[in-house]
Amino acid sequence: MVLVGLVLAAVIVRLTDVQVIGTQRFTAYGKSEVLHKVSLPALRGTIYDSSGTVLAISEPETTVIADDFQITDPTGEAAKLAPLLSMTTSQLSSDLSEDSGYVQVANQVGPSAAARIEALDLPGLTFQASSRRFLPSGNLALPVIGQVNSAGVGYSGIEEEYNSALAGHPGSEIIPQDPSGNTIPGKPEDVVPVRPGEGLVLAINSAIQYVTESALAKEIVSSQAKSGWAVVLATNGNILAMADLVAGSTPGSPPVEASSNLALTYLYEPGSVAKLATFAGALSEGLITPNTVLNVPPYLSLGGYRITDAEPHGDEQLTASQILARSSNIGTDEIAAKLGPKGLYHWLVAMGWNRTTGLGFPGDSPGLLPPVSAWSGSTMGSMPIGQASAISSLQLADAYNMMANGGVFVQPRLVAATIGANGTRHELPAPPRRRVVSEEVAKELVGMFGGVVGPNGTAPAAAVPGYTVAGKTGTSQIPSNGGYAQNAFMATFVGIVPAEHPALTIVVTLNQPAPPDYYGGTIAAPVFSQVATEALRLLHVPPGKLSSGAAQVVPSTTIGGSGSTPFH
Amino acid sequence: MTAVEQARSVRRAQVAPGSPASPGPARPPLRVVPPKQGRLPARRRRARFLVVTIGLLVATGMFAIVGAQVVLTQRQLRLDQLDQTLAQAKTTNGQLALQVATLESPSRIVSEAESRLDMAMPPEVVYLTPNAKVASKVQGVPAPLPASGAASTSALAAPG
Repeated sequence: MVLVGLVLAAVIVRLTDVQVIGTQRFTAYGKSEVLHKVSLPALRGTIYDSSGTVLAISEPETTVIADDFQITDPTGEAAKLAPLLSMTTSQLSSDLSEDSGYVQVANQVGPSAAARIEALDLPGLTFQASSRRFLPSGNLALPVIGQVNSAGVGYSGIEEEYNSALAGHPGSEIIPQDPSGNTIPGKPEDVVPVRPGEGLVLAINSAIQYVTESALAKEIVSSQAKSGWAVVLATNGNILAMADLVAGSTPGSPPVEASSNLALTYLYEPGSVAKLATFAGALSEGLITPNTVLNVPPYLSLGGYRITDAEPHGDEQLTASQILARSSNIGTDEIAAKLGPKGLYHWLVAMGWNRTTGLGFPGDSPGLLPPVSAWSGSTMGSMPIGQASAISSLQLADAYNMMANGGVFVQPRLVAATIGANGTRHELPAPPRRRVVSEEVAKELVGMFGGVVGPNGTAPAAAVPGYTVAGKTGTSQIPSNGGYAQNAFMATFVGIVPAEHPALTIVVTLNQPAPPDYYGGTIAAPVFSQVATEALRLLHVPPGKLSSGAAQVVPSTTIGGSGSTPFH
Repeated sequence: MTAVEQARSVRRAQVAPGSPASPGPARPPLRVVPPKQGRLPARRRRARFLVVTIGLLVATGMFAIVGAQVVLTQRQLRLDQLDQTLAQAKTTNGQLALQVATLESPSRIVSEAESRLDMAMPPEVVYLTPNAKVASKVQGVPAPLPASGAASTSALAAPG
């Protein structure tokens, strides 16, 4: 009787514990058996070019996972899965018989195939949502767009720079499921809504990008350069094209996209294209005019080094414009001497050659501009002509774009707008501007640089039929072991077109073209001409030198020509 | 006359005046009144009514809850189906966007133009710049009014 009483008391105590004291605990335990937290992945945002063409897009995909302990008929299950996964039955059967409890059967399974597999309702299979990044235009502008790793995180280019905006925020919810994992209809709890990634609208124009990459690829092949890069910059700061290619693995093979954005990250001594700083400074400070005549001797001796020109000559009387058109190192150093070291340094800084471009792009470097205190006796001979300092091609283009904008420096930009999750476009603020030289000086500079492309200049090959061009060539040596490498040069051309009403600033750089033809005027300038011709046509910029009432036929600078795309 | 007064007059009539004095009218013998069949006291009836009503309400409420749960579940199923349809539509839309983007790829367009349509880049570009007279007509710029100031459409109507 006592025993019965004790048992009864125990039952009552237990019942009280279950029904009264431990209600919440047991309710939670019951819920944990039924309710499951489900992660809701956020699809990465799409990257568009300026005309709305998709450059990078993510598509949902599924990873099929098997718990082979629950699979009683691996062969039969494999036979059903094989045609949907494009795998052999034997391979699948082997995978499903590992006795490991966790087998990743297939990843990157498309939505339709995944739906058909789920419809089979096979035991032991679970499905994990993922996504995959696609580049519909192939590798077009790949170093700019960048890449995404298998975890969906951008690790280079725009994908890295804007990763947080592109990635969005995954959501989650708690839903009831039966022991087989089937969802029981019911209202989800603790819902954290998914926030899809924002889209980005780049300033890049894919057509101009293609034209630029094509022309550059042809020149890399023909000049046997190790690599090359080019930037097409609109006067408003928008980067319309940014091509970065390296030579193919075998001579003559098509170039391939560089692993990084060389136009922005590769610092090099630019050579004569950097003479802009000296001339802009001297004109601004009233030390010269375009017609100021200087005596240019055969050479200059500075700090134990002899400065010469590319072409030997005796004493010459040259105007400042002629010095620039002929790219005279001696004449430029004479003008720089008028500025003095501090003055020259001031104008090098004014060109933005000691600061990043402001893009925020991974690897964006401020350049290498040593302070005056670190200059040697020969620096005043090398610095004005683009040696002893290093900048990127985009920094160079920015400085020339300042000249194209009437003396106003406009910060470049790659991203023009964002697209919200609801499809609303949000324009990004216009790039900041700052005046560097007066409008009059800018006009004088454009006129002086126009002579470079003239018949007596160093780059007649940069001419664009129907348009006026102002630009500058640069052929610089490559530093090596405390000196300069033999027969290794950087060939550069940077130009503005149309010179009278600038629309574009284009810079082309080729890294180590094979001698003897390694000059900026002969290697880089033709690429400039081809790119400018096509870009102006695509942007509907009317030619400025045509006579009214007459048809004018100009030779086309064909890009690509017949045959397949000249690069992969 | 009220009912009470009538009762009193009847009682007076039953006791005739001048009759010998008596202790009073004989009281009828007491008897047990049998309970009335089929009739419950009002209080019990109310209690039973209350119990039945509450029972009915509870039963109805239970059925209503079950019914509501069924409707909710049906709606949730429908919602889940619509969510799946929406997700499927979004996936399809993304796949189509990818297809369009692939078709719009510059390299594909150039390749198709050259290989399938036998197109080629022109060896030269011809720019046509109409003179001012023609340009004014082509662009629809109104011609100057005649000296008289009268509107004339002849200039605009003339073949350009």
